Amino acid sequence: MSRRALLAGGAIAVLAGCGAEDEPAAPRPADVLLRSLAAERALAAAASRRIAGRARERAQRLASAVSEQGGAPHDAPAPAGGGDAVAAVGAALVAHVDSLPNLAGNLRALAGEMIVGAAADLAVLAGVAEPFPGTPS
Amino acid sequence: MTRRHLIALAALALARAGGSASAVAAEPDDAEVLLRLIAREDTAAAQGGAFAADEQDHARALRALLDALGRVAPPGSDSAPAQDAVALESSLIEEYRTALGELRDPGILRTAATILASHSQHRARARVEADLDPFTSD
Repeated sequence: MSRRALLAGGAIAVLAGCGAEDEPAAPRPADVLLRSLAAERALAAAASRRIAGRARERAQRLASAVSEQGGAPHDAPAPAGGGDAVAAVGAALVAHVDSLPNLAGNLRALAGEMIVGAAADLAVLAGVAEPFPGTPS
Repeated sequence: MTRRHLIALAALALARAGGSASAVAAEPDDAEVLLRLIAREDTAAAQGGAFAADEQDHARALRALLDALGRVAPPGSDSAPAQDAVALESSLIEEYRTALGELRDPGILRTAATILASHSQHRARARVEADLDPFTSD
């Protein structure tokens, strides 16, 4: 490769670097997980015993992941109770699906497990199966 | 910035490009993952079970994503050996869990995630229909 080609490559690299600074920063994994955690805590507060227990288990796993990523699980508020359980599990599913592009590796696998669990809850609560659950309305 | 700095930057950029190309070659690209998922959905739909309509919708959506990448999936087969609904949905769930770790495009990733959710719902409903606990396999 010629010196001229290397110089051109360097200029492109510098320009590309300048462009990247203008793009919005991707959210931190801890913040993404906090949104999923808040949704699961809302579901645990709204649902009846068995579904609530499953939501609490998912929330515990998410809280651990938030802590491992340097976040504070208490930043995801736990509602006092009540609310529409079907709407809450639908919202949790949307949060988990939306989290995926900002997670990688084990955290993305965890989000996949959250999706499988919440979707099964929705099928039992609502008594239906849909082709694309978790799509934002 | 000096000429020496520019040359160093260029060399670094080229080295990084070479490294990422090697990493990409080791993993399937989004089109290859979509082709795999479409084949699974076509086979599941061909069984004609309770969720065949959803599986046809999944295959249609995945084909549209593949088309946007400039690739075309072969037509699905008209028939497939019958498989227990719970086992079939469990195997599809595992396929999509694997795919979530491979896909890169955010839009494709989200669509695949909603289809994963759909198969989880199918399995829960199939287990209820079979008088099984809907959650045992989660």
